[in-house]
Amino acid sequence: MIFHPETGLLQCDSCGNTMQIDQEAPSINTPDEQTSYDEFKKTTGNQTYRDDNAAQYQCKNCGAILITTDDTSATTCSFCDAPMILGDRLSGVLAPSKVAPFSITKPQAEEAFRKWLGKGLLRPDKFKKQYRVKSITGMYVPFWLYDLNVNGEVSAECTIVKHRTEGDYDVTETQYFDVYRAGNLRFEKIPVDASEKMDDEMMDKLEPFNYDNLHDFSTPYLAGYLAEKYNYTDKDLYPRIKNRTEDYTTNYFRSTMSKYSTVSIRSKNYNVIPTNADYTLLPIWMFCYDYENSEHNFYMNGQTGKIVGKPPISKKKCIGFGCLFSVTILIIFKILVYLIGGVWF
Amino acid sequence: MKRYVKYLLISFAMLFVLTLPSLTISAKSDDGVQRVFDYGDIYTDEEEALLEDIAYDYNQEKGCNFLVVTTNTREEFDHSSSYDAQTDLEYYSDAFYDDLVSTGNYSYDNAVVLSISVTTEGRNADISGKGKMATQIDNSRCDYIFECMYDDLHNDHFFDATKIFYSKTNYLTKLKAGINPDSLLLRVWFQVALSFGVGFIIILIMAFNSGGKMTVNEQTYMKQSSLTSKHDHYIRTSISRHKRSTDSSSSSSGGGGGGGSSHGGGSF
Repeated sequence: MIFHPETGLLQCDSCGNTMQIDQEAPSINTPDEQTSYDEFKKTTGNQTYRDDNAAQYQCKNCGAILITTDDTSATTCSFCDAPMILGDRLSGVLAPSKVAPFSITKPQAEEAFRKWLGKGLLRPDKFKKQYRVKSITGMYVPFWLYDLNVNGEVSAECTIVKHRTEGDYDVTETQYFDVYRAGNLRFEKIPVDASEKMDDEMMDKLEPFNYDNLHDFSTPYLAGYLAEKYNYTDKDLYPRIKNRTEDYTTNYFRSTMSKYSTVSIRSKNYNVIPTNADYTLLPIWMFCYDYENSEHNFYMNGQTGKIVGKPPISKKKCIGFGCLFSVTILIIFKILVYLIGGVWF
Repeated sequence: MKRYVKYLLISFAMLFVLTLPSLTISAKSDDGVQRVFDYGDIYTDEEEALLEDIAYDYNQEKGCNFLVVTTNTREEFDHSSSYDAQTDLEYYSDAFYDDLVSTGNYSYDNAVVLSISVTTEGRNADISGKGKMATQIDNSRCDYIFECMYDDLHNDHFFDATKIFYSKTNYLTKLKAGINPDSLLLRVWFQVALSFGVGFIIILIMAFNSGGKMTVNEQTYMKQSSLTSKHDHYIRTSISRHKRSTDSSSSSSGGGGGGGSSHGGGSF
C-alpha cells in the first residue's frame, strides 16, 4: 500500500483497497505501535549490515537485500516496488514530530513540470522542447520548523525630503530624525532544511509550505516515497535561523518607519530566543533532467507546486532579447523626449 | 539560430532609423527675399548664395527667418554711448532688424538674427531672437548657439559657422521653450547607452530569477508583533538651493518694433 495524495488514504495498487491513516496506522512513536503497525511491519526492512556510507536492509515483501545510503529513512524496494520504511532511522532522536503529506500526485507533478519547462524567455529551445526527464522522485526532506521569540531594539537616522521651487531655484529641504524602536516579535514555524544533500538556497526558495496540512508524524505517509533523516540538529542550524530571524526583525522595524524618505540603521540589538524546533518531513518532488550531457536538478514543493532550480540560459537569446528590449525602451524614450521636448533628436 | 539573427537585424535596423539625423531639405528655389546681408564681406559670392538657399529652405519648412548681417566697420553702430563692443553689436542688431522690418516690403516674422562684426577693434558675434522668437530662442539659447559656432568663428570659417547657426537655431525653434538644449537626455549616444543599459539589466534580472525566487518575507512567519517603546526625535533641517538648469525667462527688452529681443554671443 502506498500513500495517495489526492485521497489522503493508503491505497493498494493491486486491489484498490483503501485505508485511513490516522485510524489504522498511528505513529510509530505511540505505545500501541507494535499492534497497529502490522501492515508496515511486513514491509519494513531489518538492518542486516552497515558501514559509514551505506546500510543494508532486507525487504520483508520479497526478501531482497537492499543497500541504502546512510541517510535514507524510507524508500521502495527496487525489486518488488514495495514501500520500505526503515524504522530504526525514524525512532528515538531521529523520530520526526510532524509530517506534511504530498498534495500533488506524481502524474500532476510531471504535467506541471512539463508546462514549466516550456516557459521562460531565456531558456534554450532545445531545453524547452526535448523532454528528457531521467527520474521523478517524491521525497520527504527533513526540515526543522523553528518557533522563536525576538526582543529587539534599533536606532536609526531617518530623513524626510521635500522639494519645492522658489523663483529660479530648486529647493531641497531635508529634515533629520533620531528614530528608536523596541519591540517583541514571535515567529512560528520558520523552516530550515536539515539535509546535507539539499541545496539550502533551493530549499529556501521552495517556501512557503502549507502548514494547515501538517500532521503528527505517522510512517504510512512515507509509503511509496523516499525519505531522509536529518544530518544537522536544530542546534547545528541555529546560526542560520538566527541570521534569518534577525533580518526579518530588521524588516519589521523598517516597516514601522515607512513615513520616512530614507532610513539608515545605526545600531541594532536583538535577543533571539528559540522556543521550539519541530523535526518535520516536508514533501518535495525532485526532477533529474538531462540536458547536453549534464544533469540539472529541479525541485517542486509537493504541496503548492512551486518549482525551483537552475535552468540553462541561452546566451543567444539573452543578446537577442536584450537588443529587442533595449530598442523598445529607446523608442519609448524617444516618444517621451518628443512629447516633452517637441523634438525627436 | 536564424531567428536570433533576425531579432538582431531588426533591432539594429530600428536603431539606425531612430538615430538618423533630421533630413536635410532638398528644395532649392528663391522667393526673392534677402536674408543674408554681408556688409562685412566675409563670405564669397558662392557662399552667400548657398546661405541664402539654406535660409530660404528653413523658411519654407517652418516659416522662420534666419537672418545674417555682417559688418567690418564700427561706423555703422549709431550707439556710441556704450564702450563695450558686444553691447554695441546688440544695439546694431536690434536697429538693423527694426529698420529692415519698417522699411522693407517683407515682414520677416519669427526672425533670429546672427550679427557678426569683424573690425580692427575686435571680432564679435551676436545671436538675437526677435519678437516671438525672443521667448523661443532666449538668452541662454543664444549663448548656446554661439558656443557651438565659436571654434569655426575663431578660425575664420565663417561659412561653416553660419551653417551651424542655421542648423542649431532650426533645432532650437522645435525644442520646446524652457528645455536645456545641453541636457544629456537629448544626446543620442546617452539615449542609446541608457536604453541598452536598462535593457540588459532587465535581462540580467530575468536570468537571475529564472530558477525561481524567494516569495516569503517576515509577514509569512510573524505571528505576533508589538512595539514596546518608540520615539521619533526631530534633530535638524538642512536646506539646499540650486539654480534651475533651464532658464525659461526670456530676453532683455530691446528695440521698439518687435516686442522685445533676446541676445547672446561674445567675442571670438
